[in-house]
Amino acid sequence: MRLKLLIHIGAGAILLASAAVVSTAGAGAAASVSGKIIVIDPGHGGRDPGAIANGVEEKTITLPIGLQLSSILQAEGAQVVMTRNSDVSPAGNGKVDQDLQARVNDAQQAHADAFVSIHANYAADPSVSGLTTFYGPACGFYSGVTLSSTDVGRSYSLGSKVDAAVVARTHEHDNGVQGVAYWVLGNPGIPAILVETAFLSNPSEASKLVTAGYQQLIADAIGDGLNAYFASGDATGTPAAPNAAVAGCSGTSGAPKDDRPASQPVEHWVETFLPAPLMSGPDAKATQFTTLPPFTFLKLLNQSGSFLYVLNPATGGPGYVDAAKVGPSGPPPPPPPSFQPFWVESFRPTQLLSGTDAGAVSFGPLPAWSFLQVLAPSSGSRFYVRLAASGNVAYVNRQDVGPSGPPSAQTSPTAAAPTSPSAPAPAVSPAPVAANMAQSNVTVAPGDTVSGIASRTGASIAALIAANHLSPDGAVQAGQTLVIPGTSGQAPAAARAPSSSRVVVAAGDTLSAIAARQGVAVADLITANHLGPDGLISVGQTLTLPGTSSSATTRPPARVSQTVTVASGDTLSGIAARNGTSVQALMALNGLSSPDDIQAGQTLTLPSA
Amino acid sequence: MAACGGPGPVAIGPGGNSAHSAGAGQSPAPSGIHAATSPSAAPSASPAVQQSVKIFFTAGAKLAPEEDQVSGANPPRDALQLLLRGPKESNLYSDIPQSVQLQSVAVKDGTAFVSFDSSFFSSGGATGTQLRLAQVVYTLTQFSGLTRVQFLQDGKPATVAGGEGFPLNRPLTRQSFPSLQPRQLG
Repeated sequence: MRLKLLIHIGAGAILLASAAVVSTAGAGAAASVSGKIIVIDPGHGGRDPGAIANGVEEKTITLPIGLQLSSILQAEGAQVVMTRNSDVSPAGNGKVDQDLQARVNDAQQAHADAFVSIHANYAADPSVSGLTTFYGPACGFYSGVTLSSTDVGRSYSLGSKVDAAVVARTHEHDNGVQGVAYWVLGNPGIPAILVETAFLSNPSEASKLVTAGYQQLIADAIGDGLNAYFASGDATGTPAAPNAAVAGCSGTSGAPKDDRPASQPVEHWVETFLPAPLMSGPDAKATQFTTLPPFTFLKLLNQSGSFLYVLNPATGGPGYVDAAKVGPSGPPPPPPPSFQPFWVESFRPTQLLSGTDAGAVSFGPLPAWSFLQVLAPSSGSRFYVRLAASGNVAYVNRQDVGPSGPPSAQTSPTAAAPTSPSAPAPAVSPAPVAANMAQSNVTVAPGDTVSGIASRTGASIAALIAANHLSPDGAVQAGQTLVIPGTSGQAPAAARAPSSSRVVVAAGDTLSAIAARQGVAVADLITANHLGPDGLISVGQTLTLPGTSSSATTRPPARVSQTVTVASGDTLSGIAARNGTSVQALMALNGLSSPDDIQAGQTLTLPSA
Repeated sequence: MAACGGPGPVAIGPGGNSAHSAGAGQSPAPSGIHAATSPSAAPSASPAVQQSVKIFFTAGAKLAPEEDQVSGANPPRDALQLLLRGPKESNLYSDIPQSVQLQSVAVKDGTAFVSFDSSFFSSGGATGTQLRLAQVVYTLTQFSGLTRVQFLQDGKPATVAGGEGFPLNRPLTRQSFPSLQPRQLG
C-alpha cells in the first residue's frame, strides 16, 4: 500500500505564491476546473529515467512541469492528485508494468475527472521536434481494459484542447493528437491523455525544456486546455470519437480486429514453441506431468518467477511451464463446426506419418487392427488420427483403415454401436461370437450398417470389411449376405476372448502357447482352471479361458518386450512418437526421473503393446 | 491418460490469434518453426541465395528504407542483423539502441517471433519507441508470407515497450503504426 498520494484541496498560501509567477487563463473568473479532481502523472521516475538526450533525463523534466501544473490547478480550485511528487517509481519496485498500473489505480481510486500524463519525447533524428498528444483507443491495452466510445470521445476532446492550448502558447510544431494504447491511457471512465511536450533529442527544444520558465509555460498551457475542456460541455456530453480508435481498434496497438464485447474479461494465451515439460510446481524439482508438444495452446492464469501457471484447454488440466518455452498467442482456433471425431481401424499394417504430403516422415509402423480416432476432416489421402493405444497423434493413409467404433466396445459387444445408434438389431443373433466360433453369415437388414453388425456380432468393422471385400467406407446394402469372420486370430482385443470360452489341450501344447493364442495371461489360465503353480496340463484337458477383464495382469507372454537404443540427438518424446507410445510410459518402464534422463547408446524398454 | 500427453507428432492449429480454420490440413510435424531458435544456428530449409532487401531506418519521425543484400539461408534473421548494425547512409538514423542483441527469430504461420534483450524495451520516448518497433516490423514484413511480428524479451512474451507502456501482448503489423508510414517505398 502506497502512502504517498497527495491530495491538496483548495489553494494554500505557498501554492498561490508559486502560481502568481505567471498569470493563469482562468484568473479573474471562476475556473472551469474548479471542483474537479485532476490526476497529474509526471512520466517515468525512480529507476526509469525515460528518454535521455542532450544530457537531460526525461524524468527530471516531467516532474517540475507536473508540480507547476498542480499549483495552477489548485489555485483555480481543483483537487489534484499527483501519481508521484518526487523521483520515485509509483510502484516502488521499478517494474514497468506495475509502475504504470499504479498510476492508473491512482486515477481510478480518486474517481478523477481527468488524467494528464506529462512526458518529453525522443527520436534518433535530432531534427524531429514538436508536440504530440495521445489519447487511448477503445482497446488494445496490455492491461486488458476496454474503453467506451464516450471514454474515447472525451479523451480525444481533452487531448485536442490541450494540444491546441500548448501550441498556442509555445508556438512549437504540432504533430497532432494520436490514438495509441499506452498503458496509462487505459483508464476507464476517466478522460486521459499523455502529452509529449517536446523533443529532448532536439538540441533547441532540450535547451528550452530544462528552463523553469518554459516548464511553467507548458504547465500554464495544459491548464488552459483543461479549462477549455471542462468549459466545453464535452466532459458531461458524448463527444465524437475518431472512428479508427473505436472501430476494432485497428491501427492503434497492432491488435487484430477485436470484436469482444466490452464487458468480457480479457484472456491471455500462450503457445509452446518448443517441447515444454508441464510441471506440478514453479521450480525445476517439481513433478513433471507430461511434455507439451510444440504449438500447444495454453491459457495463462498466473506467473511465478520464470514459470507460467497455465491451463491446457485440451485436457482442462493446470500446470506450470517454463516461460522461456512459450510465446504469446491467442485462443486456440475453434474446431470446424460440423466435424465430429469418429473411429477407424487399420485393417492391414501401415505407417504412422508426420504429415499429409509426400515428404512426410514415418514415425514407425502401425500394426493391423489398431483403433484410431479421426480428429480432423480428411485432407487428401490421409487421416489425422489419435491412436487409442497410446494417445499419440499422427497421419495415416486412408486406404489402410476402415470404419470402426471406439475400442471400449470390447466390454459390451451387444451394446448398440455408437456410430449408428439407430440401427435396428433384429436380423442377426445378438449373441456375441465366441473366440473360436466358425465363420457364420448374416443378411443385412434395411437400415443396417457395418458398424451395427460389427457391434452385434463382436466382429470388428475392419475384419468385416476385409472378409467381405467391402469398400473402405464399409458401405453395405440391405439383403447383402456378409461373412462374419472368426475373431480368434488377428482381431483386435475388442472381440478377443470373451468370458467362459473353453479350449481342449492338444498334443504338444503348452500353457504359455495357449495363453498367447488366446490373448490371455498364463497366470489367469492357472487361476481360472485351478492349476498348480507349475502350470502343468495334459492332452485332452479342457481349459476354461478367463475373460480379459483382469487386464491389469494380462500381458501376453508370447510378446517379448522390445527395446530401442538411444541415438545421438534423440529425445524421449521422439522415441515415444516413433514407437507409438508415450513419454510417461517410457519413463515409468525405464525408471527415468525426467525425460532428459537419457543418453546416446542407452537401451530403453518399449511397452509391449 | 491425459490427451495433452501425446508427445509425438504435434498438434495441428495455427498460432497467433488469427482464426484460420484451415489448420486441419497442416502437417503435425514440428516443422512450423522454420528458423532456428538460436540466431547462430542456420536453419536447414532454404538454400542460400543472394537477395535484395530493404532495411528500415528513420529520417525525421518517419521510416526510411535502405537497400541492402542478404545471402544467408535465413533472410529475416540476416535482415534484422543488418538493421541492428545501423544505417550506411549518413542522413539516416536508427531508433534501436546500439546495445540491443538479437536473441532469436522464429517464423510460424505468418508471424515472426523475435526475441531481444531488455535494452530493446527500454524507454526511448513515445516517438522513438514506436519508430523502433516499426523498424523491426517493416523490415520483417517485407518477406513474403510474413505479416506480423510478436516481440519476445529474453525469449519470454514481452509486456510493453518503453516507459510509456506501448502494448506488446499481441503481434504488430505495419498497420500498427499509422503515423509512421515510410517516406518512400520503392
